[in-house]
Amino acid sequence: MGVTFPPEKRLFLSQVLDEVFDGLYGYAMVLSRDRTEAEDLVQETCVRAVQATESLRPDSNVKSWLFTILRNVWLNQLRQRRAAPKIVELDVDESTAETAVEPSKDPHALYVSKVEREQVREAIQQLSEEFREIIMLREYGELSYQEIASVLGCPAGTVMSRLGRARSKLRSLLSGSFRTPDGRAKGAAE
Amino acid sequence: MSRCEERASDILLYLDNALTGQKLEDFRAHLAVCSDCRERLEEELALSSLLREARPLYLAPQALRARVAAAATEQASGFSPAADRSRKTRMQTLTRWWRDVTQPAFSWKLLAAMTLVVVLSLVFIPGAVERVRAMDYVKAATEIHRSYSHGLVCRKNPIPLSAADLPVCAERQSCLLADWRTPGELQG
Repeated sequence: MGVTFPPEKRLFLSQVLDEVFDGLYGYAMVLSRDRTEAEDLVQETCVRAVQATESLRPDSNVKSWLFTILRNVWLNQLRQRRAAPKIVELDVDESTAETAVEPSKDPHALYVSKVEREQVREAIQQLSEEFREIIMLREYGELSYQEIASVLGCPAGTVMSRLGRARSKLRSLLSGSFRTPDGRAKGAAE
Repeated sequence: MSRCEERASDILLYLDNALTGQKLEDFRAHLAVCSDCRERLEEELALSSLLREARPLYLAPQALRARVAAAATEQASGFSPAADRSRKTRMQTLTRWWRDVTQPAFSWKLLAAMTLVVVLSLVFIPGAVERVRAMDYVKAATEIHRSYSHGLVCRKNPIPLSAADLPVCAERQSCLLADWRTPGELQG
């Protein structure tokens, strides 16, 4: 899904930012594994995007552009530290992680949803960095294969094969946590 | 690589509704005869469903949204505290650099001394030049007087010389004795 850039650049940028804000934040969380760092990453990304608005071409894909900026900001920070990323234990408690409020769901559904979300978060955090990154971009950033290829700077074929392996690993981590469409509890294929 | 492993990317594309035309027909035909791929597709569908239900996996804090909105508004209005701080820092650095560069070369005492030298030069040098020029005129007049007294003038050289200077003039200016005339001869 490509997002094109109309003349009202700033207004349009703010609309796209609003749409992908949670996706950007999730991607930042997956990269940094730290809430404060993730917030700084998102803020820096948005500030840079606003600064560079005028340089965008009408056919620019703003969505993948924003993810690319965030990734570059993160890589620059890593280079500046001249060290591997600090592994921080994620705190997924209610006190530190905001939960989506869905008024349409009953309390039981909300509870199930919350438990599932926590399971998925934990499983994703157990993946390797390249698998975490590609799962977040595809499933939560909702970027196309081509857009992911643009963000990661690799061929679309590589994106597909990596995504396939990441999903396979995630399935094995989530075995028993999900059901097949016909309602059967499903274990991992591998 | 088995035929079904080759279909792995087709399963992903099928999930994304990205398979079209003949490729979609081929994939459906394969699913009809391959239980492994059907099972794999079911697992992928279940995973996609679970991942979708977990959306958004992370919710950005409202405070962060507010901070970003404020920063964007500041930038749009042309003022940013960060940019302002950066501008002040750049000015301070520039001022410090200018002071460091200029201080050793132009202390006030040295500047005053240099100014005095320049002023004195302007006052006295033109007078000296004038005196030199005046001396030249005096010398020229004296020589003219002498040449008339002695009766010889160089035809080629406009500066008249005395008879005592004649050998010197002949040597330095390649004058020939034949070139020397009395003032009467020149006027005639």
